[in-house]
Amino acid sequence: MNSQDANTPGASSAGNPPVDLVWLKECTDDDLDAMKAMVELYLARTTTQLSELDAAIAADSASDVRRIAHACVGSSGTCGMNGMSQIFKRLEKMGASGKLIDAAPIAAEARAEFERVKLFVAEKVAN
Amino acid sequence: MKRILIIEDEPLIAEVYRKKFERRGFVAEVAVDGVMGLQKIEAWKPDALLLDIMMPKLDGMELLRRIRAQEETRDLPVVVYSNSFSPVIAEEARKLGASHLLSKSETRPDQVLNVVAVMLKEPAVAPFEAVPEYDRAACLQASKDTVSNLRTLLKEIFKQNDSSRLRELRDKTHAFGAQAWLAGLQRSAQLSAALEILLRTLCDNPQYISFSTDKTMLQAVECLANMANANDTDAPPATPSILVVDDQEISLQAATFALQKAKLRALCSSDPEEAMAVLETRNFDLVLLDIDMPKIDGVTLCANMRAMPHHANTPVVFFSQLSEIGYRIGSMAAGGNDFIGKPFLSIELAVKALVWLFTPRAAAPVGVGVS
Repeated sequence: MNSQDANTPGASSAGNPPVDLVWLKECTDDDLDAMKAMVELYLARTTTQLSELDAAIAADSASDVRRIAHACVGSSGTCGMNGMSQIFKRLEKMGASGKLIDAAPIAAEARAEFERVKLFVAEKVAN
Repeated sequence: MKRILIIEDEPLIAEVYRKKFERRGFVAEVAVDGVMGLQKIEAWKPDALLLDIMMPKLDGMELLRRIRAQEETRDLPVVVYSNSFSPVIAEEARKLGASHLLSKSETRPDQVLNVVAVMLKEPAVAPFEAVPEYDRAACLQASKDTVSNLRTLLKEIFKQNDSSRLRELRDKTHAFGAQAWLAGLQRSAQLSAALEILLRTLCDNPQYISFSTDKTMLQAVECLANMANANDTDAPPATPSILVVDDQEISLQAATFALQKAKLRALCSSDPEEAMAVLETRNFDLVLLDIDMPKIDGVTLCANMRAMPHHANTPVVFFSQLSEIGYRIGSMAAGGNDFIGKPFLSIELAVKALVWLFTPRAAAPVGVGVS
């Protein structure tokens, strides 16, 4: 009776909000302080990981791209950042295949989506 | 004599309370839904309400909102009791003007009576007055019947692939929780309360239904059936010992929030080597392991753990986004008991943890392993 093969917060598409707020609230029991703490942790970790990804792509290190993107898929999914999760999944797959030809534009896509996430949480979670 | 109106849709529970209040010298009446409750409040003018939240026609929260909006009932003492309290619901009930909030699964009937008595400035009842044996036997039988219906209903839902009937399952779980609580099945009441919240989440957000949630629901219902049929009146372990190992800080935080929903606490480690050292010297009732970790992956950690005699039977649940079939086979071969896919609904992890804490070590919940 499952609508998805694995737990994935509502599927992402261009028109959807970058954060599944229902999922994020469920994850933090709708506790605003807990939600803020979780989001702050996510933003800090992802900022670092995006830089690490850029470095791994520049060094053509597919295993590092896979490892970092894998971690980002997990943290993005946990926080309901669906768009980020989908983009990182593509990078993870690319890293696993060993071919990073299109990795740089996808990493740029991740940065753009990350900006959407920051704007969204600043409006919906920070206050 | 003071008049108590019990607004409760589960007839057995309502009748147990009606009798208990009358034995304590109150006059008690029952309304079986919110609409009837409102009518009786107006016509009968009770001195206090015992109010369930989940009810047909008009739920307890809406009823509370309406009576607080009326001058006549603005200060009427209302004890809201439910199995459905999440922090959000509890906070909403407080804001709406509940005089007291009591969790059905954690409060004995005599404690409920005491709260009402104190509110009405009546003498409190004896410190502990057990549910009379004849009531308890009836509740026990009712809980067995209800859990049998739960099993049948869940199988039908899976067979028909019909998630629209999850509300029916949620309502039956709600009824079961109340019956189990009165029958003294404390662990069943605790697990059913968590399952009810999971079902409510899935009813409201069907996009979160997954293979993983299906399996967890099935495991929970089977666990409830086993406990009810075994007349399991054991209290939950006071402080079950749980270890969570995940190199991702956000995942550890999410697991911590999830376990808190079931009033569980865990020792968390982001370093698998540190976790291995802890496992060598300590016993745990449950271990949750990420699979993809640096230095020692979760599958290897589990295999090493199984070589320790004191962890030969410790339940191990893997959680990882690596939900492909190959990883499932690997994790089970290493001695893992179960699997939950990342990202997980926090209430799903809470239910899963309770299932494993309440399952005898020799047995395994259904639906475990490679599917």
